[in-house]
Formats: sequence, structure tokens, C-alpha cells
Amino acid sequence: MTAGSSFGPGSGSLSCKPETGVSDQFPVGLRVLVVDDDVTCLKILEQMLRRCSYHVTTCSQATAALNVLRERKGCFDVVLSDVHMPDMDGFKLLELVGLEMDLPVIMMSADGRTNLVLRGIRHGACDYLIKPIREEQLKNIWQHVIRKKWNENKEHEHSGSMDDKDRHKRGGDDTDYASSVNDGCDGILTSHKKKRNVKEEDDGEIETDESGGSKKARVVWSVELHQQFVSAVNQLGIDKAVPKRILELMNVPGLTRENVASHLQKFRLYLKRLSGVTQQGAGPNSFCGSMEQSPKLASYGRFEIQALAASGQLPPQTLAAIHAEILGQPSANVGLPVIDHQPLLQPSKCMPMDHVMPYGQTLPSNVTKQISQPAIEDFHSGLGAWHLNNMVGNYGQLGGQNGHDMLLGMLPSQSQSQQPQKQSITVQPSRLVVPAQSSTNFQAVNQPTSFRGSVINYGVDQRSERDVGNRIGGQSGQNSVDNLIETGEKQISFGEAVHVLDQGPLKNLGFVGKKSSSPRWFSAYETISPINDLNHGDNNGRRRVKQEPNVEFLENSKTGGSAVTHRVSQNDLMSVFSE
Amino acid sequence: MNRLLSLLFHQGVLDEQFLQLQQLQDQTSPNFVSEVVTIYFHESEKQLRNLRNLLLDREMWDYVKLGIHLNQLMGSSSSIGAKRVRNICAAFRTAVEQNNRSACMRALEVLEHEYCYLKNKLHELFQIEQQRVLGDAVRYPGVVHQQ
Repeated sequence: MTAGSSFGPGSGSLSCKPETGVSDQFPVGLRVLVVDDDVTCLKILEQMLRRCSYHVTTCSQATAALNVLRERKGCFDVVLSDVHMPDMDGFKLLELVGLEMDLPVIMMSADGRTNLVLRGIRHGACDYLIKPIREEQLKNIWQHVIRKKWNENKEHEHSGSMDDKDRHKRGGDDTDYASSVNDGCDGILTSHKKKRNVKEEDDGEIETDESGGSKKARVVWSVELHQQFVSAVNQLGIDKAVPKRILELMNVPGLTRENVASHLQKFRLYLKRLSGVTQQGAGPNSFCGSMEQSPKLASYGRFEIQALAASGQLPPQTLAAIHAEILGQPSANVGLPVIDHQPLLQPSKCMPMDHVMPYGQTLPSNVTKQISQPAIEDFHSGLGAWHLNNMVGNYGQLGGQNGHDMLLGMLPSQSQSQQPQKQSITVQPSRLVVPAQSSTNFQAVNQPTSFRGSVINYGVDQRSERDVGNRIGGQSGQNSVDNLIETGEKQISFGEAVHVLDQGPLKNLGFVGKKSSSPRWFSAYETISPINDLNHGDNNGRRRVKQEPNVEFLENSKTGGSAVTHRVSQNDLMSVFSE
Repeated sequence: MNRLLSLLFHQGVLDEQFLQLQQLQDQTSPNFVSEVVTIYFHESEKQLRNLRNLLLDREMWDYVKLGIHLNQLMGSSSSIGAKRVRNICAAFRTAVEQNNRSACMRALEVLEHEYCYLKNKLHELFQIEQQRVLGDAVRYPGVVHQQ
């Protein structure tokens, strides 16, 4: 057999055509090199690829293919290679191509046995097609080209998600989940990553990502690490922060400039995204919804976050939120509400415009105390406290946008009275109405409600007896929201309380009124909630998000801070991150 | 032609991959299917010869080579939609892996038989198609003439 027998269109098929159609009609003209010693397959593949409007070059020998690739570097976008070839093993070719040209290589074989596929992946194949190959599969191969380029540009897009430890952990989903509850921060990240992988697996693309990522050492941006990062950025100022300086300031062994650079890029993107919430608000989920309703809201959020970032006032909660955001996909918006609502959380007059300064001022008094230690528990309680002090204003804001909100009129006064005395607020009658209202709103508008449910919970944090009841009411308010989706689970988790919870808002109100100081309910909820929350984590990412504030609250309200609650919050944090 | 095709499908000789092959045939390559099938027969005959030689070689039991040849035959057979040939290849490969020489011999015989059957049937198919094309060519001027 002669080297490099070409079956391309005419004899010129091996010649490099640099004009290959870019951008506008991508992927038309994608330059594909097909290597297969089986000429039947080669012929079919060539025709199929041509039908996909790709520019095809075929080669029946691996060595010849390698020569072609070496001679014409940069003339191919993707390589399709057979696994078994007489002159050179397809894996060898794959390895060489990966080393020398860093092109995406797709392996193909009639042999689809797992160990062989795994070998391909290990050698860095971005995909493994099992013969017979269908046209539909080839139509999609351009994605590997894009993915590769994209990964190169943003090496740390999946930062914290690709390390070996994680890879081994991918075994049992449930056990993994449980264990990550206990091993704190690391577990959170692990679980976060694992969840994402599971998602990707659904698309059948997991191996691809996995192989792409496994070649490079990744940095796990733990909460602490990210805090260091952010404080370094703040120290330098967001505009003047350059990776090198940040790296110096952080002084973390093993961290490279590239790591920091890509994380910084991500961080900047995140800040930018925050400021552009209104425009991009189409995000399918969570609080972007409420943002869209009020451009004002979003823009305040932007001012706030930028002011804070600039002044170094970013409290750990924010860091955590940002962290969550950075680690997560856009869908992991848990962090977003926390941050975006900050301005609104300062409800001096329900006029967020005034709030940039007050925010900064009030912050130390109620939050900084709790952030003195970097421990995770602190981080939670801090978050809780923060919400507690600030939520009411947020609530007022959200209410303000919402036509269905009956309480709108009351809110300013309510928030005014609550804001100054953070601990000793007596619950106003209007509060009791809140659960009912939140459920109504849920039906009317999807997104804000869940938040509102949590608002109620924060109200509870005042620790008056009445508040206990109120909180349960709040919880049930949220539950009735959740129950719209899933009742059965709630019943398991809440046991007795369910009867009340399921009845809907009005009943809840009654419940709140009558049994407002029943500690039994309180404790029942508390002990059970981990499971409850875990279930939620498993079932519905969105709900997980909703639940978060409740549990955070729990953490905070629990004066002793028992082991149970700690676990709850870790668990919850994890579920938050695991989006 | 359609009747023959559906018979082959029914027998499991061919599968939908063959239809894909037919769909790939267009103006730029009007004889695509027959070209591919010709290449396939040419290549697979080589493979079959190799397989037979490897099996008949009593001193050497090169299961690696056997596996490679079988794999290639499997790949090309599945690519043209020769389902039964492909399945026998898979069984053959299992026999090779189990080091079961007699099973390998049986598999080879079945394979050769299936291969011949496929070849004949596809040949038949192409002949019918050719006749139809010729028939069209004959009829077509007539249509033009009528107009």
C-alpha cells in the first residue's frame, strides 16, 4: 500500500486550504483528516463528511497521516482516526497528534468494548465513535473543535472540578453525596463537580470533557483559596489586579500565574455578569426572574457589588456567593440573590439608592463579628445574620414590583421599624400574613416567591417565641410553594407538620396563630430538615436553591449551634455548590 | 428491487446502515453504493483469506492478528449495513478470545457462507437497479418525445 493514498476530492485533497470558511457559516469547511486502514469505511466516511460540508482529507495509513499532519501544521481542525491500524496503533497516533499538534482527535472502531474506549479516553481522545458511524454523529464533530479552543482559552472554566481525587470519587452517587456532607469544603467542591459530570453524562459527552481536563493540572478553588484571592484582588483594586501581583499576595504554593489569571478572568466575568443581569436576564432560573421585573433592582445590585468590591468591603458571605457563582454554571445562581439583593437588604427607607453607604457602615456591626474565623460554620452563621438584618428590605422591594403583593403598603414602615433594632423586633401582625402572601405570589410569579419564603424565615431569627411560630409559618409558606411540585417528599420529611403544611397558606396562618410557641414543631423540623434538605438536593436543583436560606437561618437561629444544624448547613452549602 | 431489499432486511442480512449508504448517494457520486460495496468485497475477501490462513496455520495461533482482521471486517461490514456478517464476526471474535479453535473454524465457515450470500444478493440488487436505470433511460426519451 502506498503511503497516504488519498481518496479526497481529486488529488489535491491533501493540499492545505487555508481559506476554510470561518465564523459566518461555521462549521462549513471544517478541515477533517480521516485515518482508517479500512478503505470501505474511509470511503463512506469521506462521503458522509462531505455531506456535512466539511473539507475532508483521507488517509489509509497512520504513518502517512502523521506525516501529513506534521507537514501541514495548522491545516486541520480535527482528526478522525481508526483504532486498529497495521502500521501504527491508533492510540499512538492519537498520542502523537495530541503532543505535537494539540488537535482534537476522535477515535473510531467497530470494537466498542469499554476497556478499549477507556484507553482511547486515557490517551486523550475527545470522542470515541463506534462503527458503524452515522452521518448524524459526524455532523456534530465540530463541537470538539470549539470545545478544545474554548478550553484552551479558559482553561479553568471548570476550575475545581477536574482533579484526580474527584475522578475516583465518581463511583457511587449516593455514598459520595453523603461523604461530601461530612468533609466540608472539599466535599462541597467534589460534589459540585460530580453533579455537573452527571449532567454531562446525560449528553454522552462526559468522557470528552474528562479527557480534556485530565491532561492539565487543575486548581481546586476552595472557599478559603477564593477568599484569599478576593482579598488580594481587593487589596490591589479590581482594575489594577494582575495575576502576578495577586499570586504574590496570595502566596499559595503550587498555584501558578495561569491558575490565578483564569480565575481572575472568571471573577471579572462574574462581576460583569452581575452588572449585566438585566440584559442577560434570560437565564432560565432562580432570581434572574425577579431581576428582570425590575431593572432598577439589578442596577442597584451592580452599584453595590462594585462599590463593595472596590472598597474591600466584600464580606465572606459575598465571597461565598461569588464563589458559588464562579464555581457554578450560570444556573447556580444561589450566590446571585444574596449579592444582588444586598442593596435591597438595607431597608432604611426602601429606597435602595441611598444604600451604598449605609451598607458599608452597617456591615461591620453585624457581620464582621462573625467572620473573624474562616471556618465554615462561621461563614454560615454570618450569612444567616446578614440575611436577618437585611431581608426585610429586600422583601419590600420585591413586593414593590409585584402587583399581587397586598402588603406593599405596609412594607416601608415595617422595614423601617425593623431595621434599627436587629434583635428585638416584635413581630407585627402583618408578618403573619406573609406566608399566605408568599404562596399567592408563587402562583402569580414564580421566582420571587421562594425568596420571600425565606424572608419570613429571617424574620424568625429575632428569637421571640412568637417568631418560632412565625418561622414555622414561614417555612410552611415555602413548603406550600414547594408542595406545588412535590408533596410526598415533604410528608416524609415533616411528619406531623405536613398536615398543616399541605393545607395551603390560609391554614398555615391558622397554624401559626395557634401554635406559635410550640417548641415541639420547632425541634421536629430541625432534626428532620437535614434529610429534607438532602432530598431536595437530590431532586431538584432549583428547590435546593430555594431551601438554602431556610437552613442558613436554622443555623443562625440555633443558639447553641448543635452538630445537627452544622451538618445541615454544610449539607446545604454543598447542595448549593453542587448545582 | 424493493422486494429484494425488504427480504434482505427481513432476513437480517442488511440493516438500516445500508439505507444510510443509499442516502449518501447523490449527484456528486451517483454510483456511491455500488462503489463502496465493490471496495468492501475487495477488502473483505482479503480479510477472509487472511483469516483462513491464520486459522489453518497449526503451529501459530495468532489471536492478536485474528482479532485485528476480524475487527476490520466487522467495522467495514457494519459500515455498509451487512448485519449478519457483522454478527458472525462478533461471534468469531468471541471464539478467538476464548481460544476455541474449533468454534473459530465453524465461525469462519458460517462467515464465508454468509459473505457469499450477501455478495450474491447485493449483486442481484445492483443488477436490478441497473436494469431499472436502463429502463428509466429508455423510458425517459419517450416521455420527452410525448411532450
